[in-house]
Order: sequence, then C-alpha cells, then structure tokens
Amino acid sequence: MPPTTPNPWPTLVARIQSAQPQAIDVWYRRDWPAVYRLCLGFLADHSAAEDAAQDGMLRLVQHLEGGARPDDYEKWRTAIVLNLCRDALRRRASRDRAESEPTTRTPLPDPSDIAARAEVRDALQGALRQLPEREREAFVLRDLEGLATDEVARIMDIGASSVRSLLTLARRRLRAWLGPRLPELAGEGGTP
Amino acid sequence: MKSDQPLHDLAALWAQVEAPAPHTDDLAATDATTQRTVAWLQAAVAASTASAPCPPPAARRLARRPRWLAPALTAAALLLVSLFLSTLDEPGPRPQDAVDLAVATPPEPDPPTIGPSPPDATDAPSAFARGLEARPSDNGLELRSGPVRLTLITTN
Repeated sequence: MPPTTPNPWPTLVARIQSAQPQAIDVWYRRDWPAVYRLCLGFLADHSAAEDAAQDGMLRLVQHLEGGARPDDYEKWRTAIVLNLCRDALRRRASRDRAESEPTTRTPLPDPSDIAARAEVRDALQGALRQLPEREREAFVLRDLEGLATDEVARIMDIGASSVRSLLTLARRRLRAWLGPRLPELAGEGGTP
Repeated sequence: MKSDQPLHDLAALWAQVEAPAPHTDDLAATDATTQRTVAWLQAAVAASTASAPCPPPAARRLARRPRWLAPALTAAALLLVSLFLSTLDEPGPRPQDAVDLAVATPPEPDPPTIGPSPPDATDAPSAFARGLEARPSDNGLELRSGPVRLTLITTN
C-alpha cells in the first residue's frame, strides 16, 4: 500500500484563519494552478479563465477569513469555483457558438511542445467550446480533474446517471471534433 | 387475419430492438480514439496551467484588506448620503449671529401700451404692488410676488 500524501489543506486553512504571516501567500501559490485549471475548463477561454480565477481566489480567501471550515477543502473549492464560472457564463453574451465543422484539419500539436503553446491553447479552447455548459462541467470534473462520478454528481447537484449521460455526450462531441486531428499512431489506420 | 400481418411484423421488429449500451463513466470502456482525445485534452490542460503565471500582487493586496474596512466605508458612505439629503430640505435658520437677505429678482416692467390708457390706470396700484404679498415667517418676514420670494431672516 503506497503511503498516502498527507492532506495539507486543514493546516493551511487553520494558518490563514489564525492570520499567520505569509499563510495566504503559501495558500495562494499552492491553490492558484488548480483554480485556474478549473476556470479554463469551465469557461473554455484563457483570458476569461484568468479573470475568473483571480475572482475565485479572492472569494475563497474571503470565505476562509470569514471562518469557513470545509470538511473537504478541494471539493468545497471546486463547488465555489464552479458557481463562479456559471455566473460568469451567464453574464457574458453567448459567444460560444458551437461550430458545425472544425475550421482546420491540421494535426494537433504535442501539448508538451513549448513552441506550440499558443496552438495547443487555441485547440483546447475550441474543443471545450463545442460542449454545452453542463456537458463541459461534467467532462472537466470527471475526465480532467479526475473526480469520482459520485463526487461530480454532488458538486453539480445531479444524479450519477445524469453525470454518465453528460459525460458520454461530451466525449462523443470531443471525439468528433478532435479525433480527425489526432496524430496517427504507428500501426493504426487512422480514426474510424 | 391478413390485415393484422403488418402489426405482427412490426411487433416482431420491435422485440428485436436492441437497447444502446448504458452510458458509462469508465474511459477505458470507450474506443481508442475517444481515449486518445481525452488524453490529449488532459495534457493540453496541464500544459496551459503550467504556462499560466500566478498573478499575486493585486489579489493578495485585496485579500489583505482589514475586516473593519468594509463596514467603515459603508458607514461613511451612508453618512455622506444623509448629509447630502439633508441639504435638499427647505433652508433652515441661518447661523444665529447673522442677518441674511435673499436677493429678489426685480419684477419685469409693464410692457408699453399703445392707444388710450386704461381708465383706472392712474389710480390702480403698480404691477409690482398688485402682486405683492407679505407675511410673517417663523424667523422673519417673507415677501412674495408671483414666483419671486424675498425672505428677511432676523436673529434673536
């Protein structure tokens, strides 16, 4: 049985609430990537994700300084960020029109290629925008964040079967959108 | 009966309908292309997150506002609003050690008349005096003539 990583969040939360110096700095550096990643997934827009992530960090620290003591910090954080992103989507004009056809058929770049960072980001945003809001939430939480189906259901306040349905639909759309652009593997005859 | 045959055929077809596979959350149960698609997206998100700089200063400064600041600002704003609203009321007594005069706009003179004068013009009071009324106010004397008001405020 591999040793489990101790959960750092209760200690960090306690330090923030006891106003220990630099506790917020430590928490901020630690939590920013996860919050940004959630916002990028939910909003499918890099610049909107940055704005939303900053708002999210501010909201989280206000809750923490106000005395919030979540039993599961990461789930609690995810729920707050999700609600914030839903509000952001409602506020902005719906620019995320799903396109009927991909605008390009060029092969997808390797995400680890630093030189192709902008192209990777564009492709990622374009793919996520194909998903309706609920499908995108389910896909981000389950396939990108790695949460269990039951946890996703609790955060989204829907049943587990609904999560599976949303997930199936999301994967189907993404496969149709990105599948033709995936680089072929050796011995594979292309996408079916 | 021959007329029921289409219905029997339909019922037979109906019985052969296969239900689609139940929706699954297990990625391993999906086809290879779907798995590769999701894998690419996972890698793309990780790369995008790694390249997004952590913007500490503004958010941290905001996060460090003291708790008492917001209520204090709210109270100050309410005080300013109440002071502003109080100045919109009828002017109250001026400071006790001052006598204040409001400057009245002089009434417009009568327009020149053409033709014979009205029979009672010489005996009639002037246009100014015709419309003038005086009455005591709470703290002095108030003279009114149409829309014009002259207030004489005295102090004790």
